[in-house]
Amino acid sequence: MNIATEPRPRPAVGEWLWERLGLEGLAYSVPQHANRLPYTLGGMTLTGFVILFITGIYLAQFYHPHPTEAHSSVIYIITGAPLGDLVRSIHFWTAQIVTVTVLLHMLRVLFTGSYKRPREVNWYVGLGLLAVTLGLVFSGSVLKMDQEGVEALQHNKEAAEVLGLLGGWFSAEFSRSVPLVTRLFNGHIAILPLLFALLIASHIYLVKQHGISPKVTKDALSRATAGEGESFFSIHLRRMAGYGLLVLSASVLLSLVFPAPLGQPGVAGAEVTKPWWMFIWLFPAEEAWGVPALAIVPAIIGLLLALVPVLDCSPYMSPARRKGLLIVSGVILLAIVVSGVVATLQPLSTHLE
Amino acid sequence: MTGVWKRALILASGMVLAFASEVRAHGEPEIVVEPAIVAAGSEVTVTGSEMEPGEVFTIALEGTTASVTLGEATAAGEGEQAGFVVEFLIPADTPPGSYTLRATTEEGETATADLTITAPTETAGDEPATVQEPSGELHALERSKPFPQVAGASVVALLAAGLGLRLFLARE
Repeated sequence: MNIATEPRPRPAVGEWLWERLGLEGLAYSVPQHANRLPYTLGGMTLTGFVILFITGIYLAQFYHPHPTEAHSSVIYIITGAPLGDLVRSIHFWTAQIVTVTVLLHMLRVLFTGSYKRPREVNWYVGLGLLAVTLGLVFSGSVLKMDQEGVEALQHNKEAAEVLGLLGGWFSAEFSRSVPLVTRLFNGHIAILPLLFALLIASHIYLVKQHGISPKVTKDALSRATAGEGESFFSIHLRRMAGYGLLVLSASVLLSLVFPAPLGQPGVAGAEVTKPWWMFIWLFPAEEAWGVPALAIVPAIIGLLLALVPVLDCSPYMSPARRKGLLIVSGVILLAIVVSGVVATLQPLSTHLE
Repeated sequence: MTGVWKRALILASGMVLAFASEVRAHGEPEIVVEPAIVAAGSEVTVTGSEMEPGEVFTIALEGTTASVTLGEATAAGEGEQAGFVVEFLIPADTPPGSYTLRATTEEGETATADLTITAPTETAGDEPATVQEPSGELHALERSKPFPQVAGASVVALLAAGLGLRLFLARE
């Protein structure tokens, strides 16, 4: 490792920190292409999560996780808590951005074949992170307990029944003493963030162990690249921080112009809203096969994603050599997008029993 | 382990199992309430299972602010798997909140289920305490922000964008 190749002078404080924190250890080699936008989507997502953790801690000081108090406490956050509306909106918009970046990150990994040996385990860790991210978004959408949140909760309960024992935690019968909304709040601020921390630590560790996946060329073969490259991880980290600050900037500006929405207090048994964009694509499947589709369709897609490294185990990374898998993936992605558009345009219909 | 000890252990296990099956001839009674979130003034369906035929259960709603007896249900069926399916009206003036629906017999057998009650709808009861129609509309709130807050947030956004671009565009 040769940090002399980075001659940029650092201010005295920076020099002090650099030495005391052993930051020279971050200046290990990475490929040049690691600094391009598609390869920093994961880092952008991570910085988004930092914003979500900070704003979430603040919001938790004012949110009341009880079915009858939740909505009014969100109103208090908007109208009474210092900077509450702004912080809640930043939390909301960052969650939207993070969902986009995490999905794009997964598509980039899929497209460039970065799940191939020796990175298969990290692909599964990534799928876990995707599931945790969607779980955080879903539980967050329920917590506000407006009409959309109550309807999401009811769909959640009915889908949980399909899962049987696996869905037990999501049922009201799981705990006699704590309402489901309160337990979803616990999941949102404790269980899922803990899972996220464990998975992201594993994700970063495995990236470090195997290195950034090789640049995709016609004959590129998947292999470990740790310690190789013309650039440095410290530069990659700087790019990530740069993108993260741009995410913060975009989130703050969106929050000022479009404050996070809040619907009317939820009334049980009604279906007059549609879910958020990341879940609305399930609407047509629910229309066709009923509430069980909410559990079964994501499970099938999760299974297909889990099978990707098994089905495509050749060492070639070029998309041209993986046409079959990419065409099938593209068709599924197109079906999801079309489903989402159809669901957005079609009139509301009821599904709950 | 000697043969004597083995036989003693088997005998003891058998006695314990026989005793357990005697006192729990029909298992623990269970109830399920559907839907688990309901508007005050609406009906819920309570389904009981694992009960003895003829057992009479008193169904009550227990909350922190109110407790209401909804009625009685008698288990029917054959053998030790009797149960009931009954519908109860949740009083329209029941305060919204988290409740425990409790079914109890005079002998003290108890089964519970979680029930969340929201504000009543117009169609749910004859004279609901608060009429609230389900609506997909946004909640109308005063969301204008004081100028210092807008200015401060704008400065934060610009600084973050500037620093972000600087880090992004910095030479390697």
